[in-house]
Amino acid sequence: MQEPRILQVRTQILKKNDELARSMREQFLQAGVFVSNWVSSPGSGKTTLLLETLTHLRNIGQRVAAIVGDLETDNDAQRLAQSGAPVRQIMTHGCCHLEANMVEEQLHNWSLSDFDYLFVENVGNLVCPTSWDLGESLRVALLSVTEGEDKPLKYPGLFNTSDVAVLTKIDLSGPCDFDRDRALENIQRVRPGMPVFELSAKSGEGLDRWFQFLIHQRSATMG
Amino acid sequence: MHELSIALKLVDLACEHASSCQEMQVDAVHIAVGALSHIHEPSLLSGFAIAREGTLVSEAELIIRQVPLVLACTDCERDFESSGIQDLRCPVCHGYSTQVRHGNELDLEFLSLRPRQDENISIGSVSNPARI
Repeated sequence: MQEPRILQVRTQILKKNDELARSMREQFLQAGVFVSNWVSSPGSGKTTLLLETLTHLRNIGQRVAAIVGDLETDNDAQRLAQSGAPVRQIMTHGCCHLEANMVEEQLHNWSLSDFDYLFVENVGNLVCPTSWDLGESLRVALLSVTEGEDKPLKYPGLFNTSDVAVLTKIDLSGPCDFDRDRALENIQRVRPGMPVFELSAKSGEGLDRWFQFLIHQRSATMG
Repeated sequence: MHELSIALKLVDLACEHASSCQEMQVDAVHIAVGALSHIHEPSLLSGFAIAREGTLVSEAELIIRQVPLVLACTDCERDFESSGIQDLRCPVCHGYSTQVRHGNELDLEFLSLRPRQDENISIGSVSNPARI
C-alpha cells in the first residue's frame, strides 16, 4: 500500500476561540473596560463575593457590569442585579464551561465604554473552564475553606491558568478545621508566586484589600 | 465533559485542512496534548468518534501524543521535566520562579492522508494503516 502523505497543520485546536478572545481583549482594552473571569467549583461563593464587589465599586462611583454563566436558571443574575449593576445571564443548557463566543453574544447592545469593569462569573466547575480564554485580563480562581486544602493539588490546571487565588468563607475556617498554611502551600506548589487573597464576603474581613487589588489591577492594565 | 466540545472543534479544524485535498482520505488525525491541559483521553477519543461522523475525517483515527510538563526555572536558568503536575516549583532550588515551557499544548499537529481507493477496484486487504 502507498505510504501515507503528511499534511502539517501545527495549530491550536481551540484556535478560533483563542483568536476571538484575543480580539475581544483588544476591544475591552480600547474601551477601557477591565474584564475578569471568575472560576471555581460550584458553591465556593463566587456570586456572593461578586455581589459585594459590584456593590462596593458602584458605591465609589465605578461603572460595573456582570455576565454570569450557569447550566440553568437566572437565579444568579437576579442576585447580582441587587447591586444595581447591569447583569446578563448565560444559560448553557448542559455545557460545562463558557466559551468566548457565548460572552461575545452577551455584549450586543452594551456600549463597552460605558463600563470600567466587566465581571464574568464562569460555570461552577474546576476542570472544564481551564482551556477557554474569554478575553479577560485577569482570571480569578476561588477556593472556599469548606472545600478543603487539597483542591489546588486535585485540580492543578485551573489554578495554574489563573492569575490570582481567593480563599473565601474564611469566617468558617474554625468549624471546618481548615489548614490555612497547607492551603497556601498547595496553591504555591501548583502556581508558584500566585497572589492570594483571604476574605469573607459575609463578615467583610479581607474585602478592602480585594477591592484595592482590583482597582490597582485595572489601572495597571489600562496603563 | 469539555472533551466533546474540544472534539467538535478538532473535527472542524481537521476538516478545514482536509478540504484542500479531497482526493485524499484522512487516515489519522495527530494531536499533541500537554500534561496540564486536563484532557481525559478516553473521553476525547469517544468524543472524536461521535464528532467525526459524516465529515471528511469520518474514517480517521485519533492519535494522541502526550507532552510532559517541562518547566523553566529563571533562578537556576535551566529547564527540567516535572514528574507530576502537582508541584511546579523548581526541584533544585525549590523556588517559585518557574514558567511552563511545555504542558499546555492542545494542538492539531498533522493529518495522515492517502489517496482514496476506487471502491470498485480491490487492491487486496489493507491491514493497519501505517503509523508515523
